[in-house]
Amino acid sequence: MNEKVSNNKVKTVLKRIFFNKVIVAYLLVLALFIVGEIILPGFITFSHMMAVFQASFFVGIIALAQTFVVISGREDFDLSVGATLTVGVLIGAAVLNGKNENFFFALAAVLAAGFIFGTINGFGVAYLGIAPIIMTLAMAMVIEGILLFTTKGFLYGKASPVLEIIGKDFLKFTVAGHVMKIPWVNIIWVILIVAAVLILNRTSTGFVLRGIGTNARAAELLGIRVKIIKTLVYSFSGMISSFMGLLLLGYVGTPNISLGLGHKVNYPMLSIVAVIIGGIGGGQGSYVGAVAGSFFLVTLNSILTTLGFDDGSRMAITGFVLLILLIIYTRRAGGGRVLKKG
Amino acid sequence: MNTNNNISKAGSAKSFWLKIYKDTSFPSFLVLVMIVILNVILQPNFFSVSVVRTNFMTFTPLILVTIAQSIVIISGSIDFSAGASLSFFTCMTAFFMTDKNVALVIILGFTAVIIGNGFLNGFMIGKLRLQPLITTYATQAIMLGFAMYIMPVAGGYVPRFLYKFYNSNFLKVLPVPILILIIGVAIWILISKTTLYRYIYAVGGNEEGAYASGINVSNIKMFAHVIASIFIGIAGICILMLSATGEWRSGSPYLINSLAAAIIGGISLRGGKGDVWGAICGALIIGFLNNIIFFARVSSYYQIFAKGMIILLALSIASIPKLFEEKYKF
Repeated sequence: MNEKVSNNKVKTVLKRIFFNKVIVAYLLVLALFIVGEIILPGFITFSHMMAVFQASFFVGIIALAQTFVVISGREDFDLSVGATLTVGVLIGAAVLNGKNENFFFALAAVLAAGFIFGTINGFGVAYLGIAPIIMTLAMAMVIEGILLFTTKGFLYGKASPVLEIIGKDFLKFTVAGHVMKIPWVNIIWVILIVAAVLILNRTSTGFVLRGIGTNARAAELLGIRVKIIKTLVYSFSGMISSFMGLLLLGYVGTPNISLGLGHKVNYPMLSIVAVIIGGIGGGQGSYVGAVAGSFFLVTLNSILTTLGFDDGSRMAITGFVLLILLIIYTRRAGGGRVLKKG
Repeated sequence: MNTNNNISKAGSAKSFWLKIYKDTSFPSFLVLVMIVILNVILQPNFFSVSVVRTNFMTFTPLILVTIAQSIVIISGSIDFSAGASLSFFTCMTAFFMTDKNVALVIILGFTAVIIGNGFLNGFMIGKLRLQPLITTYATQAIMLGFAMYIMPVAGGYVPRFLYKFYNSNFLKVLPVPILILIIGVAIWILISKTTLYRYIYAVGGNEEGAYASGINVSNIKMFAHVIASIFIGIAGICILMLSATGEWRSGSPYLINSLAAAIIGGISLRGGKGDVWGAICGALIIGFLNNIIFFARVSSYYQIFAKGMIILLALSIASIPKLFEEKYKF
């Protein structure tokens, strides 16, 4: 009798674990690390983990912007993150011009630019009622055009020493004789993760965002100013993307227009895949899942690169992974079988 | 003009005009007329056969992709992988093509697009009921990945007679691009005579209602994607003959342009509203506007910006009537 009860308890606990998308996402990352260790011995070492951690940051921050957008609406996605990121890189480089004393001007200019482009996105989506994907895709095109005719192909400036330290250097300390190196960007990331989780899960702002994402109409009838909040969500996404551009400038050193707009790293795609892997959808999920998603993508990418896959096949494999995860998530939630009009 | 979704008793001349006025594609038709007039002023010899042919060489693929996109949107789904499928088609055909196996390669590419774009998307969205936007985003990554894998840099071989054929007149009268367009529209008209066409509207307009009245919703959604992929395949042939190379970037502008054209043409993203004639008007508007940019001698640095702004402005203007509708609802 007692055994049966405990058996049931174990079952419910297991069920809870497997129905929790965040835990599943981290299990996937763990599985990928084990696969990596089997295929390429020496995959799980502290230094390599830190390299993966550092590379995940650049996907993870864009995924943070995407998380806020996706949580606030079932069909909301920001496809202009790559273009806004490039704005951050170029403006940051031009204002910094290699001098440390310009750092705060650069930060302000970059955030302002991101805010402006994000707000235009949000205005189109919330007030004009244009579908988010089309609005942000067209906006990406406009931003690319603006960058093209303002720079005419000549890029000024470069990162300042402080920014370069933040972008690519490590915090070094010794533990029991071993030198430990932790990238500075990841310390920023940890702060941002804590802040994002607190905002989304513990404050009324997060609650309102979830409300809008679950049912915008009901939220409006409850007196929430849906349009303004949606606009601000897109502004926030733009600001985070351009801020990330500044940090990417620190990592790379000199500006390059293909950092966010090139095909090698497709930031809109990576961030959307990371968000979906993390189980974030309209009104549900938490940023912790998207963090797992970006770990997953970067680890997968590094395994595939070491095995000698080219850009195209890596992209196709990412697409397959997304498709398989979508099938699993939709089927398991049971949402697939219920006829529902969104 | 097709006025399927307006129920009004035909008869007197007055109701005929009312019917046209209330048609979803009427505003886009008006805009199209204005833009054509502007184009006539800017472009020399606008009505000569060769100028019409050069214009339609670029318009035909866009119109065909827009038809594909609108069929899918009307069925309540969306096709984000249209551009990537076009890239995949051009890369694959240009890679395998030699002087002797042209027909075989084109048929193979066509089949690949129908399987990859039509059946894969249709199966996922129709049968497995995944969210259309994200699903087609994933297939976009797959198709684009394959295209990049086959052809990392632009190249390939396209026989000379193929692109000569596209830039010539059929029987010395009818430009070939227009001939292909007529074939495409004829296929669409044939489809619109079947019950499948009505089912697509029913499923897009009210999925639960369609299910309750015995329509096989998942099959209809799948068919919508498969039919759309046929048009994407034809558009792919046009782009192959137009550019005469395979490049994985060649299809990407068609995605945003086709989406914008469908919306300008009065097709609602919620599904079940609008018709394909409006979408064709929308595609022509985008095409002629791009023409105007070219003939107004805009510097090449400003062209991407101008094209993006045109899409944004057109979308904002198209959204204005919707804002008033919202007001009436409250």
